[in-house]
Amino acid sequence: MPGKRPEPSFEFVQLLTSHQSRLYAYVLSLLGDRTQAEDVMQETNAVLWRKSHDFKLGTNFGAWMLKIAYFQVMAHRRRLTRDRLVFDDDFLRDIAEGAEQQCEWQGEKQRRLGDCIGKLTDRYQELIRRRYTEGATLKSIAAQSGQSENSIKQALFRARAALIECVKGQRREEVI
Amino acid sequence: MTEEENKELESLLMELTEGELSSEQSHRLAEVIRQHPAAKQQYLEYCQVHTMLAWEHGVLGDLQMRDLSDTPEPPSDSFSFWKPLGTAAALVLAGVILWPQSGAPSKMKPGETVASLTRSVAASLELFGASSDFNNGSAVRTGCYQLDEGLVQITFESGVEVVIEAPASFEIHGPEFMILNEGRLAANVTPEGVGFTVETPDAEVVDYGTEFAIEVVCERSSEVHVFKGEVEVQPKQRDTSIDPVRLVTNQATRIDHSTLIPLGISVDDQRFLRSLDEPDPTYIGNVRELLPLAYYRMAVIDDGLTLKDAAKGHENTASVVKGDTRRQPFAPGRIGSSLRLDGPRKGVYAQISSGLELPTTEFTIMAWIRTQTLPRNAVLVSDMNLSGDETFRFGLVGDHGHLGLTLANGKRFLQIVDSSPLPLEDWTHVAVVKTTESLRLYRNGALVSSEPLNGFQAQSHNRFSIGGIPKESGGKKRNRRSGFWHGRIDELAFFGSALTSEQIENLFQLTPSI
Repeated sequence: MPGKRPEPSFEFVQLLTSHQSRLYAYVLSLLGDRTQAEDVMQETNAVLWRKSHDFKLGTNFGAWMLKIAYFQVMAHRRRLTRDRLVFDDDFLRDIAEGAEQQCEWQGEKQRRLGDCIGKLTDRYQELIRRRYTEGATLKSIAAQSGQSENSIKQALFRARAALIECVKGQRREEVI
Repeated sequence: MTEEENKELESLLMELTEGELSSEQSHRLAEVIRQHPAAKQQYLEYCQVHTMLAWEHGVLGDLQMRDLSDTPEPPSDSFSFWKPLGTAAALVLAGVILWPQSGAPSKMKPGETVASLTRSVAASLELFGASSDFNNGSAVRTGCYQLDEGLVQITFESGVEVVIEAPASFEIHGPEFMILNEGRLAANVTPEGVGFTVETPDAEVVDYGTEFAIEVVCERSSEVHVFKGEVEVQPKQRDTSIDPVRLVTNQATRIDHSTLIPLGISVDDQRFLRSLDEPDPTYIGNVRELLPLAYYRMAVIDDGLTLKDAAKGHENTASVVKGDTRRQPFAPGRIGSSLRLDGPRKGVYAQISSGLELPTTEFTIMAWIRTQTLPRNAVLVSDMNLSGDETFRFGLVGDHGHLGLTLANGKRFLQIVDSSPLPLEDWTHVAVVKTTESLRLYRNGALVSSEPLNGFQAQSHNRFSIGGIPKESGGKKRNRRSGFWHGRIDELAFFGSALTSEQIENLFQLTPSI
């Protein structure tokens, strides 16, 4: 169509797709709210898509993406009333710096995650599977297992805590 | 942090991922994080692991088709915010998540440049099933690749060089790790690249500074051949642990897919093209000093079709006619690479440009040759034209591998034949010489046959072809299949003079050992 921007290159799409995990982790850390993070994630993806031709292949895509995501987070915050902001502006920069550093190692951690999940007890593996693969709600997991929602919530927390330790390279035996 | 604060933080983090933080809880979370650096770290790691789990289980990749330039739709439920990135993204993701191997899906980070494409020989290389423009010097990023035709040479940042031959399917995961799902790969590992690892469906091959090659016959076996240095081959474990195989120079193993038991085999240095560069030993210089009219070193040329003339001052290039094969025509040679010919079924041969004119009085043709089978009357060099006229044929005579030269002049023909058949699967140096008085045939530097001319007058030849003959016009298909060489030809040289026995023996002796 005349006047329409050309589609982003395949390589760009590949980069964008492979960085989705890092992007969401970063945005979620800055906003501390899943729903808001989802909105900003979408907006950021749209901006990245539109700006694809500004990105020079071979340069640091991750850094470029996080920079755009940061501005999208700031823009989003301007639309919120003060009481809905989790972090103030000063502390947000601090969080952003920490989240950026975390992102640097995310690829490596992601590679270890599969093995780490394998080290969890069967029960926790099943919980993780139901929660993330099936997208099951706490309510349905609880109903099916005959446990309270709160105990499922805690079990999931413990599973995640064990995985955090494991992907950092600190071996941890099966969680009881 | 106190125990109580720890508990509180845990509770807030649980709400963050499983419920919804109230405004009050959000502020409390911020407060705890601000007060305790350890809490901030825990918070960041928690957000990250939640995201990674979603990614690991494919939820983040639940992409659908939609133009991203559209206004984003509000999310309807958990994880539905992963909006489409278009067809290409879905394709990328399919490549990321759907491994060819069994077991839990792994993840790779497509898109990071870890190597470059240093040679591409008539290659049809695809990344994630989408045609990409790969040229010499192109960046090679992590991802899944399919090589349908030709050869590629990929050089990693560490200097590790791999040559991959089609058909092949492979994945590049990083600067030191790749997976070969199917195909042939030869690797040359620099000291900086020690630890370079290639995984196959049956084994993991870890290199300790060496030259090695792998062939994976999908779902059947993986073979590892070590030409120099040392590698460790760890069969993939299933129920029981199998100890790794340590291979050193000139050792090889096959890991059978059904049992994973390592099977010792002979190293095969004739199967894998280990380098796409043509070495330049003394032999080459000495051939050139004898001023050949044409000299086909059978060097790998990027178009996969041209045989370059290395004779000084001549440019009698030859062109490969591919016949019924899509396979590129280069294979390991006696020196560097050679021209591979697949026999009557494929009908591959090469046509020399019409500029090459061999004198009728004196000439020499010399080459290194190798046979895989011995097709009846297979041709090394012939001048048969499309009408079927032929005055010159150097090749096999009959059915049993006897090498000979036949000259015809319209009235009679003259033939010289070696009484011993050529060996199968072995390199042989051959030369045929015409003087003003005789025909002489040499094998591995020694004269094996001589025939007087007895007044025979050679006729000027038609255009030469190598390894086969042009299809006869109007001929039956079955008949058009005769005359094709099955094996390899290397270092083919034509001279406009009769080389002496001493010169031929000298050249044979100068050839570097394999």
